[in-house]
Amino acid sequence: MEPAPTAEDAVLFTFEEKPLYMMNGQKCEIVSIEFTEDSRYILGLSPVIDGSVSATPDTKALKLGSVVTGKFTLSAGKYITHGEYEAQMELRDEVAKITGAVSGEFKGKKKRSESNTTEEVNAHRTWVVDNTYIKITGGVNAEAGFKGCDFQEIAQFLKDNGAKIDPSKVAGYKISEMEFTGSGSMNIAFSATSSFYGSYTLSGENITYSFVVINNNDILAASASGKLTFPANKKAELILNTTIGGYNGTVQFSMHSN
Amino acid sequence: MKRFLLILIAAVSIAAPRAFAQEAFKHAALGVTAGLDGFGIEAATALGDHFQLRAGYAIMPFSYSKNMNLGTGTVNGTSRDFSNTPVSIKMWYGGNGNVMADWFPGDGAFHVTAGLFAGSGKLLKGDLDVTRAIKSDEWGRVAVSYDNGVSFSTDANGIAHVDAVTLKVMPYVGIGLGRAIGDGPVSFTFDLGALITGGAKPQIYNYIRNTMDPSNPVESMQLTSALVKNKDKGWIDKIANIPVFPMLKINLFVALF
Repeated sequence: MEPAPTAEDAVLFTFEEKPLYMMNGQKCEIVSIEFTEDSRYILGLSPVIDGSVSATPDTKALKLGSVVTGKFTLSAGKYITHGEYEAQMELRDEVAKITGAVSGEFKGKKKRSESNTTEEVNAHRTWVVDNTYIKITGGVNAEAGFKGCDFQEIAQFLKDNGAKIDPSKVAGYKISEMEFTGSGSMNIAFSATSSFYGSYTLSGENITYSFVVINNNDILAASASGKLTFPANKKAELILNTTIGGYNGTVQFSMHSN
Repeated sequence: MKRFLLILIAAVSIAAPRAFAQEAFKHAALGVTAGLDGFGIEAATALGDHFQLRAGYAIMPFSYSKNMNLGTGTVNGTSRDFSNTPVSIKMWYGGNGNVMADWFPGDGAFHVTAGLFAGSGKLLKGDLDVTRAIKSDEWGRVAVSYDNGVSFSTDANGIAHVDAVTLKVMPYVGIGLGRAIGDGPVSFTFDLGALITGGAKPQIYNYIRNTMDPSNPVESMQLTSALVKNKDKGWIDKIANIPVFPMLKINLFVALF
């Protein structure tokens, strides 16, 4: 596959001096921003507790509470974000110059995203889930395929077949996009609820992921491993061996990229 | 299997010099056949006085159809009525090609035959129309699953498939009467033998991943007596382990030259 459209400009900027961001009335700090290979940005946010702001720059492991995603465009070397977070960013190696709701220059570290292998070039883009296959065993046996991926529809099917799962807890969890980036980020965006976000590793076809931002649900575990394959141009299959609602399970996503 | 092929090659190799010495392939005949492999056509040639080579193709044109009472079953958490399910069964699906070598030990019509039959490997192909019991949005998307991991589903049109599957290439051994290349313009021949099928193993299919993406293969699994909780009293396993299938054919040949 050809690299995704903004592969050359994909970067991760980790803030040492964290800009503030208001999300649903909650004051947050922007911990990082990633501009991905497929014209998306992923804004990593950490809630500010008790109204206090970090006294010292935190350059260690990110402590994300949530992410905000959207699309970006490029103009004269500047990243222009659209949607929930609107700003213009000029990224240098150790400084991000931001013009937007919060403007200024903020120290941090810029790292270019890399796609070294064929599998990585193929993976680093945005995927739309066409079909989802679920199988659970061990006390309850159920197996089915679904168009798209609606967690509530899947949970209802599993419940109808004897699984102790409450479908109402995953109402609105419909996957709209899944993205893998060259910085090792994995983001699953939903149509009506916040994203699941974390990191992944890909070695050949073998993939392992771990979400640091995830809502409690019975369908997709916080971490799992499996295989990511590309059966045709702009087609991908992600097969995960995981637990679903406490049962041994297999989840397979059949996806396409635009 | 390897030993059988070596014997066959050795036999033809021994015969070949004499055959070619006696104007092999100078005579040929074309025939029609009827037997336990269906109806077909066959071509024959002589490799000398004691060997003849035949090649042909036969297909079973009939199918058996009946509405069967398959009781009730649970699909997707609800009980379904399969009491009046249309079932259609075909034998030797797609037909079989064959190549056979006849050895005549004497000057008479008695011969010993060895050869190969090749086809789809579906001795029986069963189609169960469960479109009334299974909802249309479940066709090819919901499976019936068992504790041992075996599962099956209908295809995207609501048809469940159950086949009795053999080897796709089956050795044949047998005896017979008559010479395809005879003295007169018309010849009758008769074959009686056995196909080495490897057992006719019942197979069920899971179409879910294929329905999701046609580039995914249809998954197949063997149906066993344990899977039906021995309600068949072990007969599924017993029949699946019978390694041969009888073959009986009558053939009518017309000499070409």
